[in-house]
Amino acid sequence: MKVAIPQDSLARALGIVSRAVPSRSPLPVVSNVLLTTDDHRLKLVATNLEIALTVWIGAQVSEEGTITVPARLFSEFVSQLKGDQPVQITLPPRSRQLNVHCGRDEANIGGMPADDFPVVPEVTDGQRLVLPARGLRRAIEEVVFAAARDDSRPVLTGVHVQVADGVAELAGADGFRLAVHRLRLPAPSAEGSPEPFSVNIPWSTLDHLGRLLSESGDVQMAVNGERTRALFRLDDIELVTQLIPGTFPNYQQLIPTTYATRARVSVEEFLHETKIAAIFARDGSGIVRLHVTPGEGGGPGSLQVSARADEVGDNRGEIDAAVDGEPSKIAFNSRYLIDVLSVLEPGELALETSGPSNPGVLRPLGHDDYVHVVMPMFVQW
Amino acid sequence: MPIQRLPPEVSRQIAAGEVVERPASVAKELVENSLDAGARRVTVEMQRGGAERLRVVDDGCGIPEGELELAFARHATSKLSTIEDLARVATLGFRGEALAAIAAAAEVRCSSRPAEQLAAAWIRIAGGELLGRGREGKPHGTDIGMTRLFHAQPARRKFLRSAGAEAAAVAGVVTRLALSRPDVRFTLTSDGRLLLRTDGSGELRDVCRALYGSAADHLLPVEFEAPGVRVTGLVSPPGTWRGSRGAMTVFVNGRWVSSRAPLFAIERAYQDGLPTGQHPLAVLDVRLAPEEVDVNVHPAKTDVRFRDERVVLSALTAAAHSAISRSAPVPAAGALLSGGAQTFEGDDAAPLRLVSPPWAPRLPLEEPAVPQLPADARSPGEAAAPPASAGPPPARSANGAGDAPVAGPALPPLRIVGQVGATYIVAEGPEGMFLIDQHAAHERVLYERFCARPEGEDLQPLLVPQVCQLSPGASAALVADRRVLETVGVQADPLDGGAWLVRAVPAPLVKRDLSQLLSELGALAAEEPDLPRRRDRSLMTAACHASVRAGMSLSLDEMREIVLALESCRQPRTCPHGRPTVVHVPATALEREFRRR
Ligand SMILES: Nc1ncnc2c1ncn2[C@@H]1O[C@H](COP(=O)(O)OP(=O)(O)O)[C@@H](O)[C@H]1O
Ligand SMILES: [Mg+2]
Ligand SMILES: [Zn+2]
Repeated sequence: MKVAIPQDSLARALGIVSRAVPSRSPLPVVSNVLLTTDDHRLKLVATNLEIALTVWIGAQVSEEGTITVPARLFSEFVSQLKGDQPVQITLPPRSRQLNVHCGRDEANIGGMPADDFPVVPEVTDGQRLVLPARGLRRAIEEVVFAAARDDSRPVLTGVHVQVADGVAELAGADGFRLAVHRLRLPAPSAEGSPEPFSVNIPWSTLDHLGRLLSESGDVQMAVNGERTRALFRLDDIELVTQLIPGTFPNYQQLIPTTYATRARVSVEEFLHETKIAAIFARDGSGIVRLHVTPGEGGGPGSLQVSARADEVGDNRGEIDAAVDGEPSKIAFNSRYLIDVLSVLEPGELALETSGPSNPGVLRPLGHDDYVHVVMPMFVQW
Repeated sequence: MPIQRLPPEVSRQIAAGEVVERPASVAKELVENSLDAGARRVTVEMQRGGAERLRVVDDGCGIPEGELELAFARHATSKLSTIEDLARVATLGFRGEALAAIAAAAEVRCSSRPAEQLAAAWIRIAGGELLGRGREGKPHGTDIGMTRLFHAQPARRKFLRSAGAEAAAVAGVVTRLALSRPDVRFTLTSDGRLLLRTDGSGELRDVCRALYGSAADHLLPVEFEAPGVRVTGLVSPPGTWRGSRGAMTVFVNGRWVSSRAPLFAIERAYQDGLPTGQHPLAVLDVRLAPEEVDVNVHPAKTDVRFRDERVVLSALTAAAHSAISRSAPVPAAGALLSGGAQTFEGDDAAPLRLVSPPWAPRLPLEEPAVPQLPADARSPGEAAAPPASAGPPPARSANGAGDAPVAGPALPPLRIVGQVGATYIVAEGPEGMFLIDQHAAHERVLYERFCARPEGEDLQPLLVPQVCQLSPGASAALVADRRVLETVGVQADPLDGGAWLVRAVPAPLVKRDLSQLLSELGALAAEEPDLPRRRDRSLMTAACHASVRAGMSLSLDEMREIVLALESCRQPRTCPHGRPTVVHVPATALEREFRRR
């Protein structure tokens, strides 16, 4: 193998694929990155056996070849090289020593044969669809945090993606809260709109994908026929992931459709007050109490955010709220409030409640594409 | 072979003893009879723990009408007739005592129909007296119902435990028999509620699924042979653990073995990979030549004796070990993306970590990739022992937080330095270094909080109620007595098949393994008769589940929170179980170690 590549694109590609490299693996070859010449490009692949990341970069290929080298070492070395010279990569025939040469720096890196590297499976014969990168990034941000991290209910560690009628609906839930984002798909192309389907994608996969997405452009998604794997393609990057089998709970019925009290507040102010209250709610249960009071005589109403902890003390903070309905009180785990308030875009939201023991609903105002449902805590008022 | 009375020279050779002690022993004898009769389907129904009523219905060969009465005579059996037979018993029963003993202790109605008989014949016996007989229409097989165990022997009835405890014991018996016979369809109900149903598919894994839920899908097959022994069954891969040995079952020649030595032998196969207090799931059957086993030691017959126990124990270790190591790494190239989840390299490795965490090692048989502090790495010399200035740990008490004032000195204010082995918090105090066991410390904090928790406070309901799969025994115990759940503050309701629907948990238990918690609470409900003690132990169990585990790397903030809370505990120096939470290494000891003085 003999290849010359610009240092910056090699460094960037290594930065991307090494995110898939597990810190520890039973399979030593998996801590390596696979390098393969592919026409006039160099293909880099890394996997943690749950997802596989592939990046192609333009290169001057004068001799074909393939090898795997330790990802961390190679990536650190390349990132330190000066950017003004191309990186020359040479693998002599039948050798396992990769020679890396750039300007006046040179290194020999011991590799392992490419045959030992797991084969990245194809994702064919299933559904395909195109998603807008920017919208997908926001959807991921607003939904992934709500997916379960512990695997007592494996299906909930996935984000449910349901595609139908020109909309991809992403839903994450962990048993205590639910986040749903409706992502409008670009107008169908000549192939017609995609067939409806739904899959559960591991939250960690989407978390990775979210970091790869840019502000513009499209992402192509494909799911195989058996619905066991999905592929995401962004320009020169491919991410293949395992899907989580199982039936996601029917969450539509969990979203309350009515409310007794609706308070419109500023997202930033609500977040700020909740963070202050959380300091006083650190006794393990993290209880934050909310009191909504309608305005009198045409004045604005208020949302009071308070917390108290035995032996620590208590606090109260108040923000303006446009209140519709009765006065109300409800308590939440501060963590859950902070999680959702931190991902919402600046602006206004509506907090809808129907008594202290029924789920609370948060809806950002101005876009009807997101809803968050969270279970209150039962407390002694 | 027809039922006959055993000749005296044979019956004398058989270990005598009481076979009927409690409903579970009746269930065992009746179900074993069904299995000996070639049943493919066995249904067990109990009322109030089986003491009120216990019924076993099977589709086996039945008892011919002419032998029905004889079956209830002492030493009447169809399973052996000579002393030579005794050495090669292949059936589960052979003493011909069980039915006689049951009929002496309770009221029994037995209705049975061999396939070739046109109608079923029934008899009723109580206290050994024949009360009536007749015929009735029935599908072939045997239907034996026992009512009011020991109703005429109040002295013995006194020894029966709560309905929950007895139901759990019956469920344990049926569970083990179901595990030993995956080819038979078992159904078990308690007070009309279904506790267990197996499908008789012949696959052990299917029985395990009915018992242990989806954990069954991860179990590794065991196939092991050494001269004279064969071990088959399923064991869990490293990482799939339970908090008790309740999901470990060993059979020898199809007979359950109650002794614990075989369980330790299995655990040895996991070596250091087994976290303390955790146990694998295992269902293993050891096959030996019948001559190697002496089943004839005690009528309850769970105390199987081997000619050479070491052979059995080392076979169990080797069998489990080979299954685990075979499953270990190297997925075939094509099996990509089906492997277990790996942890990603964190973007922000906590800078303060002194030693990398020994993640619950997935592959205990391999060297860990990162050097870790050996468990017993302590500084040499006096510094190793809790020094005198730390004060003696307070005496272990049954109701810790409820106790009057703090035992042992309070903790000084501590500054967090870092974490060792993802298990201990290193802190600095006015007089040197403090090592804090993060789990024990958190457990203390939460235990005191649980004890002080007002009823109904900080309850976190679930948006989607969660289904937890329990063993039939644990489930039966909880059905019979839900007080342990109320104590802890878990709101849950039983479903069929040993499952429970959890609706709300106290905040500290959010996102914990609720199935395991409920299983342990169920075990407590069955085992602990003393109410205040049971209450206390359930709070300890809840605190243990809610606390951070050893092996979890913590952020500086998380460590600070635990230590701050520990400082304000009433008994900060020990965990609720009485183990120390803090070890103090005085500055003077450090100076001495470094020869500065
Ligand atoms: N469920 C059953 N189906 C068919 N036969 C049975 C059943 N239960 C008992 N019997 C007959 O009754 C006899 C006596 O049973 P038991 O008192 O349990 O003694 P043992 O099982 O030791 O022979 C058995 O040997 C068997 O022939
Ligand atoms: Mg018998
Ligand atoms: Zn514990």
